[in-house]
Amino acid sequence: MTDNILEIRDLAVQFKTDFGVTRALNGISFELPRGKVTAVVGESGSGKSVTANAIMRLINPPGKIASGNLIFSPDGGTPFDIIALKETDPRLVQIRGDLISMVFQEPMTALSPVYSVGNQVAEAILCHRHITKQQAWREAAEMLVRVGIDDISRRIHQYPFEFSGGMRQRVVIAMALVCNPELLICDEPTTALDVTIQAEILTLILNLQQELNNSVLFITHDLGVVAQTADQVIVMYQGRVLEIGSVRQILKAPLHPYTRGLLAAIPALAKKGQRLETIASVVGDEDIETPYPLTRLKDGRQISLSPQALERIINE
Amino acid sequence: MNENLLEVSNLTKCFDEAPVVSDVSFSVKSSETLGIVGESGSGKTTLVRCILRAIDPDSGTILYNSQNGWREMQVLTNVDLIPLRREIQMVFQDPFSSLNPRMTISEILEEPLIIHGVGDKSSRRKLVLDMLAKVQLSKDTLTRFPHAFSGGQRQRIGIARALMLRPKLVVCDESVSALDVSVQAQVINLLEDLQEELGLTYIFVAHDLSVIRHICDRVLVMRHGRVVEHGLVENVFSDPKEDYTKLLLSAIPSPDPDIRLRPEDRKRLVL
Amino acid sequence: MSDSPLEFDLDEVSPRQLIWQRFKRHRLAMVSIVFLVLIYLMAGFCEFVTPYGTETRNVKAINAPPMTIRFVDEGGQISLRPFVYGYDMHVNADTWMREYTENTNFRYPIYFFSRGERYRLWGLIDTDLHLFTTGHKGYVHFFGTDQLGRDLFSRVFYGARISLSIGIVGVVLTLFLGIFFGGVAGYLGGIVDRLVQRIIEVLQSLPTLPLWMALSAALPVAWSSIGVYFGITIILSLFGWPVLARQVRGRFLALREEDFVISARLLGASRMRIIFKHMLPSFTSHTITTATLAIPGMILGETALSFLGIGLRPPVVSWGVLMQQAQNYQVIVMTPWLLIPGLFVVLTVMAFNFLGDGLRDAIDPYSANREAS
Repeated sequence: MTDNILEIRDLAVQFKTDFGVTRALNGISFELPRGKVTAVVGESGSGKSVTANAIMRLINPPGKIASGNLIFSPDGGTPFDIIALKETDPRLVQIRGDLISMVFQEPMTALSPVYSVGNQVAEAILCHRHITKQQAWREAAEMLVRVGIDDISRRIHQYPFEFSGGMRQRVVIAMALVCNPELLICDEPTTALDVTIQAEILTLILNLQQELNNSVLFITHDLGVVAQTADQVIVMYQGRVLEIGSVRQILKAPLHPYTRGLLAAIPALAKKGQRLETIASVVGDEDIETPYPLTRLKDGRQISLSPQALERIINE
Repeated sequence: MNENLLEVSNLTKCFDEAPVVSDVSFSVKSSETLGIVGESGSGKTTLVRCILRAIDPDSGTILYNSQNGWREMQVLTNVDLIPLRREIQMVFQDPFSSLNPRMTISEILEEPLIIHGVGDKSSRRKLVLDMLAKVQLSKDTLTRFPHAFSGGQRQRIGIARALMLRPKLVVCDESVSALDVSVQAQVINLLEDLQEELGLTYIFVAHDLSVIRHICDRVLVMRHGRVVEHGLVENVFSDPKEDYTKLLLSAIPSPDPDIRLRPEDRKRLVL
Repeated sequence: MSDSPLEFDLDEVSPRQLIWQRFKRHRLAMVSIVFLVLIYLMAGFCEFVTPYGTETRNVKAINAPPMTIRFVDEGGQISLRPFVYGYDMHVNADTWMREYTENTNFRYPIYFFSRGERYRLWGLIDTDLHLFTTGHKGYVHFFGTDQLGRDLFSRVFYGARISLSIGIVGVVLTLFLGIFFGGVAGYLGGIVDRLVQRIIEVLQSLPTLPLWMALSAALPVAWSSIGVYFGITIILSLFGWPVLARQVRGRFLALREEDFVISARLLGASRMRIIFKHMLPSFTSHTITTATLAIPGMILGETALSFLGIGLRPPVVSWGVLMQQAQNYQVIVMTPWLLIPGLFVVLTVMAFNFLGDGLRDAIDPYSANREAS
């Protein structure tokens, strides 16, 4: 029996536009194992960010969660369905920030420009716990030190604009982790950063994950980042899950033609002077455009493919 | 050995007295691809904008080998630059803001020809159609507006516009950075095909080292407005001389989970 | 990398059509635009729309209340042709005021497209055709009459012509000044920019109402009504343009750095081409919105000045001039229908505001929709 912190079942999200209803998520299902890093990888329009927002119940009109369950099992607590929670349910407040928290792509927009960083981190604590302001500031300072902010007695009183991009993202991570959430969702946390800073932030997230032993959902489009962080990988395309497997299964021996195409398109893996493979050159549209249910293979990975293609793979 | 197409020496540009590009010298050979790589604030965008004379450099020389002999770009007036504009073009980073949202694709592609008084209406239309075929877009794109296209398609339109006047030198400023991996691969392939077909010279600005490694012949590593390292791509990537280049290279997350860096390895990366 | 809703087939929809699509969903704005088109048409053809001229007096009805249009008469008989009953006047012995009651013996049917007073439409076409009259006998006053027995319905629409056109003329003038100064400042920059900026700051720091009053009071009494009309318009736009000029300047500065403008420069396009082909079209929609939202200010300005007696003066009829009659408490109690012009001012100003809001909402998502990648 596996211990999952979150089980997503048939989650469907729709957006109403001038031109009809668009299905951002088409009934996706997957599990997040407790204490592990799960990466969701996909290109724009794959629905990976929508998934993250749905977990936090942050889908605003014109979008709406059309159907599905999000079964969240807090450590030692009773599991409950996040989607079934009423807007007034106290557990919804718990979900946002206390049990689950989120790190966004753009650190500048996630921080308020008019409050000092210490104030913002302390506020995150005070939202969920009844302690004194002094206590909250003390804990905020500890957390900021932990995410690598030096000279804390001075820095804690500074404002976001006085920090560099990488430092801001550290503050956002401190805010997200200060209540010790069981699940941390990182939505493209390093996309806006330079490579060297990206390496630092990834290290930080992984180190803290090992220390605090929480579960992480990592959303990214960069397969390099996936390879460096994830235990389990979920490949999404056009609001559907195409393949789920361990990081080695997906990146070393991908079975789905789309995953293969995605890997072949990375310049880092291609030989110099060689033409890059494009997804169009790997598969015919038919194979990835038609939705097929996920099938579990012998080695534990799940894949969405036509019966014929599936048979071919099993025979191999 | 090809002859030089562009020679930049001691180029300096300051904003509010702070040097953004300082004392940069390099040259570009005809038909090669020169990569300029650096993190944000390295001055790489300012450098190419100076070369294009979108902004005026403070000092230094930019020599360009035009059809009519060598020209000193930095001293030319806007009017004198117009004939050179036919030979040097640019592909922008953001395929969303670089196309005028109120013009149809046909107007966008025809504009360079109109500005330089090329041909009459029917011959211009033929040139537009030819170019559209070259960037693999269909004829019915012509009457549409930019918002009807995806990022990759818009970037193809941007490339088509840059090539309408048959330039010799094309500056690609982070032209594939905003695209999804699969689309990025298509655009990179397209740029390489066009280079071969039309004998183009590229200056390719990027922060993504793997893209640079894939398509460039030579590379310029920039940091804080200065050139840190300069050389053939193979040499710089396999045997970097400078600490900063080493740091940059080791920071690229490898898509192979077997060469995953342990946290203690990463810590050593910090300069 | 935003997970934008999947792509739909927009095909050959132009940005303008997209704006229209969004605008249509704004109900209030749609109602407003219908209302405004109607009232502008009625003001434009006011000689035809109204049964009487501005100075025609009906001595049988002085300070008479609005009439009710009827289809059913006293005897319960239904007539398809609408009609009104004439007035019976008697003087209240306590207040010495004239009081009117309907006299069912005088029944005046309303004829459409019938002959009435002669007039020259726009001073060109000599005719006596009206939208409706009561023919040769009787009279009709939908909005009642004023203390001289002049038909208020007619005067409201003649007034609309002046008040509504002052809004448009004033805004056109404002647009011209604003775009010119804003564009010059934004494009040339440097000393010109700083100079224009200072002028704008000075103009914006002046208290408008007292200045309007001082300036309009200074208009020579000897000026013809047309002269005063343009004088007032110019005074109103003189203080309206700085806001617009600031916006235009800001847009110019921002657009100068836009990739597609830089791209045009790198193609070797001339300054004129860049301004007229790339920059101006990009902010016409914003300019239209600003202009729409500026019109009510103009209308209110004219109304305020005329109400205070320092704007337009009789015999010119404008909504402000009409409201001047309703300046005291007695009028409001005894003859409340004289406030009807005020109702039109309120409705028009609201309609322009809703329209402006609708336009802004329709235009803004386009720039926000650019989908940061």
